[in-house]
Amino acid sequence: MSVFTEERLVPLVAFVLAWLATYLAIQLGKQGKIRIRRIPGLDAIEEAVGRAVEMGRPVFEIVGMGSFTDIYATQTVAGLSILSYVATLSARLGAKMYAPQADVGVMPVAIELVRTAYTTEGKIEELDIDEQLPYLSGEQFAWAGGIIAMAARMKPAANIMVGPFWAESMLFAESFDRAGAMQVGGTARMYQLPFFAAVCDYTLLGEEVFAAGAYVSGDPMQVGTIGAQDWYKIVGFILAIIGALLATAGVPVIGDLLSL
Amino acid sequence: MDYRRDIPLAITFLVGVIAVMDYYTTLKSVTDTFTVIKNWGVVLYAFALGIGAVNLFRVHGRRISERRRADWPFSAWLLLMIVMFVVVGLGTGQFETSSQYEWIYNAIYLPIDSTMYASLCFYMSYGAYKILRARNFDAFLLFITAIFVILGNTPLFPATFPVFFHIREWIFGPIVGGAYRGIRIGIGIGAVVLGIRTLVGLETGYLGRR
Amino acid sequence: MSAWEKLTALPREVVLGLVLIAMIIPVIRPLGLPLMVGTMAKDWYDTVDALPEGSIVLFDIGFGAGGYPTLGPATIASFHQFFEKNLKIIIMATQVAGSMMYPLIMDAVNPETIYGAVYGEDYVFIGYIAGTQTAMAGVLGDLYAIVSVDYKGTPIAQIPLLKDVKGADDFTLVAYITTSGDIAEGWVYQAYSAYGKDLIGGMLSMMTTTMKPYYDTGQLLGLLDGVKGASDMEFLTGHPGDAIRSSDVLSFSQTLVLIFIVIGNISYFGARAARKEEF
Repeated sequence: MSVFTEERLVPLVAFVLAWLATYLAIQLGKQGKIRIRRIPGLDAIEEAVGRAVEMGRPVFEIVGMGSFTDIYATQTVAGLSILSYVATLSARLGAKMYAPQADVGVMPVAIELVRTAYTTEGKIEELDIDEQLPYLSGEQFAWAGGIIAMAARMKPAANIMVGPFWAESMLFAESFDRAGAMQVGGTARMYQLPFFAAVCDYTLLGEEVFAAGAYVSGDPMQVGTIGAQDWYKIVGFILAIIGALLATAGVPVIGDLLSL
Repeated sequence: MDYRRDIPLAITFLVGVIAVMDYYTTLKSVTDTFTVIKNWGVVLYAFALGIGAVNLFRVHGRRISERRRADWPFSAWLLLMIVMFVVVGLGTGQFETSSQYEWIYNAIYLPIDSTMYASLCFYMSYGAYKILRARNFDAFLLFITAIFVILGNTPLFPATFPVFFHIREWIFGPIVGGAYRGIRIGIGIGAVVLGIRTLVGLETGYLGRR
Repeated sequence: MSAWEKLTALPREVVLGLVLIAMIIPVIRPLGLPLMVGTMAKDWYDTVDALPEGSIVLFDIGFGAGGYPTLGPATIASFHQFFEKNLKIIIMATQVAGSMMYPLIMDAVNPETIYGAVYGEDYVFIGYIAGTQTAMAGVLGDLYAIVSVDYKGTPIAQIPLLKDVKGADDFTLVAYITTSGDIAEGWVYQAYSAYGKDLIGGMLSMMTTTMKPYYDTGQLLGLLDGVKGASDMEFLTGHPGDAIRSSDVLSFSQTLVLIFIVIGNISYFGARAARKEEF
């Protein structure tokens, strides 16, 4: 009996190569040899928080309804990285940040992140956890209804939504737009991307959500790993082109190889 | 050593490696270990459920006692509903098999949830009116595509002019299908690299920026 | 503000008020507007129609209260077809709220009265199983390892329909109707990719763009998309219900949205032309 699970040989090889590529990218990143383009949505976060400070209105940061135990855990982690960043900015610049919570497993982590950010900035006395990070509900529309109501009452100047979102994405985007908020929306749930793309001022599409934490950190090593992402995409692109041409010619070798 | 950072990172790395090995190998020791870890996760999450309930009672209880906010009666209503659903569900049977629980669920929760879902239609209608303006070439392409998709989706038009159905199918096929597959590949790769960054301790955003 | 600019920025209340009126009119007075049965719904219907009598179908109720108005009619129409064909149905729920939808669906289908079906022999509900893909893998891998009692608490070994059902090999068809992308794609991975089972799926319209590639490649043999798919199924099965009534609402309201989009664009260019003239 083989040690390796059947039909997962190619994914395993791809995974190992991803590790190697990431390691190489980290080394190149340390040397400053990897540069990535600006991601307007992420650059706009600081602008959004600044806008909130000038207008004297709050900032909303929504990490979505995902948990750490479902397939959207990676998006939740990405969202929490942005929460940490926005909390740091809000504490530093003096904006009041609200981050309503939907998942009981994520909430303690979010609270700890925000507390750490405010403590680091020396503004811990300005933080009211119960008011600023309230648990609303684990039910989708109860949570959405609560956030929409908060938006209507508080009229935030900025709304940053990065993480996994479901049908409530359209509700949020429209409601915060009506409140006059500048919006940055990002999700890797493709069903909801069109709503963010249509309504938000800036959108993070799919993989940009996963790059967000590395990008805002500014750490050269983390930025280097974004390069690894792009190298893999180029490989995928080449395989897709070659595979499509060969399959059209009746030679499905690439598809068969990838199915091993 | 910063124990508040290094210990969680070590745990993350260890559990991550076990999870990956469980997926790619058939080693029984790995599978058994991962099963234990998953069970621990279930127990931790069960305790976390209590945090949510306690938080709700604490926050809304404070609002009721202070009565500073104009919407404090809604806080009282919320807590009353929580208690009622739990008491009825636990007291009469196993929640969904209890006819009384079923009654209050169908009478209260079902219409509210359906209404919220249905309200999406209004948000989308106004959003479509506001956004689908042919301001530039990209917006024009979006406008034209949206028009044909709406024409294909509205039952009346394909029934009268079947060509709208075929245009919609064509848009969904090579155009939308191709775009989605491209985005999906990027998402998959991005998730893998984020996972690797998390495992090696580079991605520490979820621990706070230490 | 010129007339063009007013048309460009119609108040929310006006637009939504008119959309609401457009929805109410066909509800009060159904118009019976024509509808065209789509190929995806037809393929769902034909896939089920081709099953021999007595085939076992595994059906997942993957939606809750929010999705019931849209997907409930599709589920009811599907169950009518299952019972008419004398198929055996093993019903499960991969969403917690799905088990609350089961009694609503069964009240509407009324299989005992209409089809003489017997619970436990012709259909059974094994309740909500946690874990989404873990649940799917469990049911298809070894049913008895993951489920010990049915919805009513009866040990499954005592239920005639489940006595000889162990896993994927015993199911002829896997079907699901869901509002969740995880569930929709999960069944493709677990039922089709892992076991090569025939699979049909129903979902919200907004999910169709993502799931259609699976239908195009044959991984899904049929697809019901939202209210449109539900009305198609009601038409095909000859059990008109809420979805066919809703298709009038859909026709009216979407036509109005189209009109608003066109007005928005005409007024946008009109306002732009008027501003150019002023200069």
